[in-house]
Amino acid sequence: MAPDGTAENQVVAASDETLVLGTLRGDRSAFAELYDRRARFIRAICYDATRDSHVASDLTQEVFLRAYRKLGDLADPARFGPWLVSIARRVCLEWRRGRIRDRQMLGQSLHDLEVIGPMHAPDDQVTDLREAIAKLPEKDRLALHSFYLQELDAEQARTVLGLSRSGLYRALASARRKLAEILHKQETFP
Amino acid sequence: MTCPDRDKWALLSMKLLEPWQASMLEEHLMECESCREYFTQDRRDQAALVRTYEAYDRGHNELRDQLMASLPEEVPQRSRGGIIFHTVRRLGDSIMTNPKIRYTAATLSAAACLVFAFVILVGPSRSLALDKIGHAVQQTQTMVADLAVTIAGGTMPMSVTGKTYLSREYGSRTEMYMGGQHFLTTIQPVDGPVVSGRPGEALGFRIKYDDPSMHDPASFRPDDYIEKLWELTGNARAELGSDVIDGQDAVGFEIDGAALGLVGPTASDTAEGPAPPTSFELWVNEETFLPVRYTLTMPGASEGSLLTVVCDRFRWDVELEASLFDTSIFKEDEKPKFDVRVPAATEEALITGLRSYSELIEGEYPSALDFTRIGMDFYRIASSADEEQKKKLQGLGDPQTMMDRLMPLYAGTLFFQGMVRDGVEAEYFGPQVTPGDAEAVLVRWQLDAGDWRVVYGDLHVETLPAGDE
Repeated sequence: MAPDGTAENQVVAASDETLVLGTLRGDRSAFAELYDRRARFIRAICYDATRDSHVASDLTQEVFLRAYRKLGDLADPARFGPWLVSIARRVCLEWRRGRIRDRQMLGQSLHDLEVIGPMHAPDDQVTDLREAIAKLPEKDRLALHSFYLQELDAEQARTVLGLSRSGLYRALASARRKLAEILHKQETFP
Repeated sequence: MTCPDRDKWALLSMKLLEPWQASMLEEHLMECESCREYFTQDRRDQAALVRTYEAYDRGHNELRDQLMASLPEEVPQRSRGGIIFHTVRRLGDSIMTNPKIRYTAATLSAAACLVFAFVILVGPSRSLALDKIGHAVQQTQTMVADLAVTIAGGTMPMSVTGKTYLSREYGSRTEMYMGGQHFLTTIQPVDGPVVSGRPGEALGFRIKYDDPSMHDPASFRPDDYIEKLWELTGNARAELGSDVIDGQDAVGFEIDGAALGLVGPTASDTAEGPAPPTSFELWVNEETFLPVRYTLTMPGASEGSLLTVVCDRFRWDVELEASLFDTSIFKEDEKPKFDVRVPAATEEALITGLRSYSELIEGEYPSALDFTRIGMDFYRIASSADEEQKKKLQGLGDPQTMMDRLMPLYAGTLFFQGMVRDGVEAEYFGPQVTPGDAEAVLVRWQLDAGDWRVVYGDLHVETLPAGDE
């Protein structure tokens, strides 16, 4: 849903499924739209795993490259979001295991990418909050990421995670409660 | 109004509550200073989170352009499996886009709880999801309906009638009659244990939950119900056309049974041929879309039998007296025949339950971590003409002992199903695992950090790093 929550804006947005099928028909702009829709979310997941904005950006690019190459294997195009998360988990895991140690780690898939540092030094509060979020259990983190990076749209957020709406609500409430405990205990939050 | 729990304030600041819920909380804010302070802080948290996540936008466009420039030239090719899946999926979607059918599915789930009410009476079978739905009906406050249950053929033919009352305010009550004689009433008040028996007599059974949220209707979010409807919607197999049911113009739908958590016994095929398939039909009023008849037909537990459950004569939003749900109609000062304690749905309960099962049914684990299915399996074994099969159940002991031993398994299945429902990767390999096998993986699920929790055939548990599972 659009930030203003209007149904009109909701109607014009193509579904993930439509965009996946468009990509499979050769429409690259459809994949660009998928990237616009989900890359911030994947970047947040990668940040949680790496605690480094630049590495998170690199890994996000890798996730999307793998997704593009494997897109034909995606059985249910409507589940592009959860599928992408599973790729991100795998990529982050590989990174954590030290299989990817430097720029060469991204191998041929990124050979022609000159990754820039997209997330400029964030202010202290943003950093503190990101660090606090990274301490949450994965499910809570993903709920926050999906909700706040999908324009506060619960329906989209739950679709990305493949959760029920009530499952998302529970995870969000749990995440907010734990986050408040972390932040206010640390007194780094207003 | 007592102070709402803190999660509600977070949901309010995220604008995730229904308008009526938000209004109630806002009214409470007017009169409660401590909640006002808490909510003020919560709104600050919300604003900070929004700012923090906006930071992920930085550099996005440049990164996208880089990625697009680096994509391979060749277009990814669709696998054959994907094409088939997509075709099937579109059938479901065409149903989901029809608001009438969506609404129908909503009403269906209310009716489903009636079937559930029967299931819990005839065996130790229970589906928490249906229980939740029964109490979470959003469109209506109350419901009354008639029940008729018949088992035709097989070794245990029977015919039972009944009436069910549901009230969001008070709970549920089901009365059962056999041969015109009232033989059982089950009451589940909103704030107390489930009790069952014959009015004026001692309780037949009482079920207490260690974790009150397992049966507390007030703790269930309305969205649980809405979500269930969406799941059901995708399972409407066919429209059955129009008919006049109980004097009302109705339209009918055929529903896939598994969506309701009800599965038939798996081995009811007979020498004459395969068992009839489980079928569910729902007929709803053409204008209100409230159910007018709901029919479940499935193979019975004994060979060659057929179980039919019909719910009809529905009445919605009728006034129901609180006294209907008053458990003092039983002699509560006397000890119930069965006093059942249900442990919390935890890993510990799962392991305890699996151990009990493997001891009772020597050499086996359950065919599925689904308590309805397990109950049906027990029932089938008990009804079997095969003495060797029946011997397996001798370890169950008297009914009280049986309940005590099986309730952890019930809680364990809820633990497992809860993970599945919440999107956790969880798998059960019971049919392939021999009890005592320390090498074979019996159950496994992924933890938040990506590691795996693994229960082996000898029921020892390990946490394995991701990738080592």
